[in-house]
Amino acid sequence: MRQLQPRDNRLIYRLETREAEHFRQLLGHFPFTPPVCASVSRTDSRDEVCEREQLLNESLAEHRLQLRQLARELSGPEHLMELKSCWRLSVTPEQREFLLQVMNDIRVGCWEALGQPEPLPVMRPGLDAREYALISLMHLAGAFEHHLLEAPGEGVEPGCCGT
Amino acid sequence: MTVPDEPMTMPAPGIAAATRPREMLGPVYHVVCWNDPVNLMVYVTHVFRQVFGWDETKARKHMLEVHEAGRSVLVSEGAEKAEFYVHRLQQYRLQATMEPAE
Repeated sequence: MRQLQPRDNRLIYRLETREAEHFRQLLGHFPFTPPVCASVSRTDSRDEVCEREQLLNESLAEHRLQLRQLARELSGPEHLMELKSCWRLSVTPEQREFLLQVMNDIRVGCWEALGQPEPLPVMRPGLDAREYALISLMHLAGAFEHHLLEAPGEGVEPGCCGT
Repeated sequence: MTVPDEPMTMPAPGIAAATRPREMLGPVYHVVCWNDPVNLMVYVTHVFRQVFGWDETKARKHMLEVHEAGRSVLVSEGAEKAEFYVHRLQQYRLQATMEPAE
């Protein structure tokens, strides 16, 4: 996946077929992990903090529902289009922000589901199926984050994603 | 020899908002971002730029502070605004909290 030159205030990415498959799977099945309780403070334990925390968690739950809806839309043909030999993703800068949030939610969610290990776990022999799946998803989502944030490359590939 | 009359103006009563002591405006909170091993450095820098409107240099400086010192105070604000920033940062899944300023 790499970014091409933006056009009409839209960010354009070129994806190989396999990347597009992974991308659709990630978005189509989001969220992979249950929500976690977010903290609003690490040092303040006053009553009003509990109230703030509750509001924060309600707000984040609602935001996650919106992200799920957006993830479905952004993996649809209006945004992700199959071309001759590759795929083309077209999003507004605002939609790119939502995509980043989705990918990072997957990444952080998998890490939390693995028990928040430090350093980050890597593929190694002896992992069970659940660990294998979570680690794969975590790294895959991170790779998409990188690509989404990369600067656009020079030029537009003729006959592929430039149309 | 006479001195020309100086224009007479009375000072405005009260204290201008900009010069009020901070305690009169309510408690101040530090918006803090904490280090974790999972959020990508490039992603954290990007989020700081998006949420606070900072340039690359400032965003990267705070990102590196989080990475090296374990935390960075991003801004200090009243409760409402600090809460807003914490919500925004947590929407991006950064580990952000608001801590009372001493």
